[in-house]
Amino acid sequence: MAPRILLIVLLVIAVLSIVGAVSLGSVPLGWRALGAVALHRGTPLEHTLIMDVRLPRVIAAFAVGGLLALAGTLMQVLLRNPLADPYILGISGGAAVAVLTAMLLGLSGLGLTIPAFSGALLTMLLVFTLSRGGGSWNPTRLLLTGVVVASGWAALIGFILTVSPDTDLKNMLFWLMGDLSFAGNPLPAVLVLGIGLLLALGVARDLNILARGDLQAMALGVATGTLSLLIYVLASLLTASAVTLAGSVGFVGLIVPHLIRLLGATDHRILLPCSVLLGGSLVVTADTVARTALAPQQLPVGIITALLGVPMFLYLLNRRTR
Amino acid sequence: MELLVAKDLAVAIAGKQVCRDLDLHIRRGQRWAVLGPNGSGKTTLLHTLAGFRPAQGGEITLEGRHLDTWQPRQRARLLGMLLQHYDDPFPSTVLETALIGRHPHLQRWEWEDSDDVAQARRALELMDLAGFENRTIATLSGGERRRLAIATLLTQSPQLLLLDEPTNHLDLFHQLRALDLFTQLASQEARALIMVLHDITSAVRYCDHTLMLFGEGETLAGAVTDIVTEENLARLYGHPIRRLSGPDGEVWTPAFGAA
Repeated sequence: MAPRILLIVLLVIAVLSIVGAVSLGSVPLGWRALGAVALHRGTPLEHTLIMDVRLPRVIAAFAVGGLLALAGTLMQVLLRNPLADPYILGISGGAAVAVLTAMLLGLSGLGLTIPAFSGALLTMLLVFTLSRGGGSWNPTRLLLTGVVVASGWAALIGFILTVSPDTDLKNMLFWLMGDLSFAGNPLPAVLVLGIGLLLALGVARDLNILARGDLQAMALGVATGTLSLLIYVLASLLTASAVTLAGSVGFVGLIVPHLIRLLGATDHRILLPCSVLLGGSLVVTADTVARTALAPQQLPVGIITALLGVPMFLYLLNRRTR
Repeated sequence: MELLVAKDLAVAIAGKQVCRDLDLHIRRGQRWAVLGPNGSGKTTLLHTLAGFRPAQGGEITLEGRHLDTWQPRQRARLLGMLLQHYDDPFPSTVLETALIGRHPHLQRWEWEDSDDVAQARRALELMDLAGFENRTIATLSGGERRRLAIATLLTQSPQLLLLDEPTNHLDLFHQLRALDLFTQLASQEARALIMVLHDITSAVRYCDHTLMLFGEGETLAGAVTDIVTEENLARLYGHPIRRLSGPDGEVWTPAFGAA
């Protein structure tokens, strides 16, 4: 598919997934009701249901998907590794340890925002400091440091789960698998996503070259040190914002960039916005399934993103045997 | 006119001295061959001259300005490098790969225009890669990938070309094609070349100056006719090298059976 057409198709899919997600739920709302509310002519019930309940959650879902897909694309370039995802350097692990500890101390809902964000930022600084012993950006050293720090967090998460009372366990598991039920105001995350995408697009051609290695990038006039620092900080902040909003939703950040590459867009100027759109649509759709499939019971959205994403990815991977 | 000047240059890597007190004056139109045994630091020296790593002493100037004070993109319009090895962790097409050569010529938000694409296509044609534009790079052979790397450098179109073993992986015909092309760039467009070579015959035939790296910091630089001698080469490689006269000029070959 021509890259620009792909971008338009994904834009349409994003809009459709958002409209569909707003209309589906315990009380299905048709096009008429959606139109009425948009024109401020809906009933109070419709208005509350859409503007206060569904829309914020759908926007939060889209922001989380977009943030993770963007962060994943950036991490893959930074580490020159197609297997990298936003969590590979331990950022979600750090957030999880802070959040689970806060839950043990009795915090819940929006009270978990600050622990999540601080845990993520602490990990970002820790990995940055530990991995820069030689003073330069070495992808292998960064990857190893991050993976080891992430394993450390995983052990602590296991410890906390073991010693926690049974009543807390379900909430903890939901957070660990990614859950949008308690997502707060999505606007800060949307803002971070917008600014992040704009910054990334500003260096998109440089990313095309850095993806081919440090030396090639230096030979073509890319300031590799500055660029690596920018990608690292940006990808970390994007991940921290996503994790703060919805816990660690897996799979999106790893798979979405590859899905877009398999669909034919390898230039980051197209790949980045396409990833944001597909990541957003995927999480919006997954969250709609998560809250309607077994209603009134809600499932963690992270389970559905994987269940939707795995067959999609395997189909595209096998379709292409050039 | 002098493109690149190194004064009192000292380069070392991992405790090993590549050169000390080296003076180099690379003028437009000149073609330099860098000769030396494995591990003598040819690549390290090239990376230092390209500004990829700091020198341990002395200074390097590009068009009279200290190498470090150049803005990276501006420097990349003047100075380009063919690396010894390329990694491709992510998929990409042949045309996209050649087009990255235009990066230093474009502004931040600018896209490649039809002139840039035409330049990339011309470079691909020169390297016999016409018709390969939409192939993914993972499907190329080692020699084709090498020709694509050369095409990317030609698309970048710098004034000084640093070439790290440019003939690696190329069949004999494409070796000649590439070296002829580089020579033309120097003689017809007044650009300059510094290339690492292992084939002395090519060095003598295509270059007018030679830099020999003996290891342990000892170097010898000068005109090919002055310093490419059987004595110097025997000392350089630790093995006798013979000069033969062939139908198309002199041929240099290691003495067989003397090891």
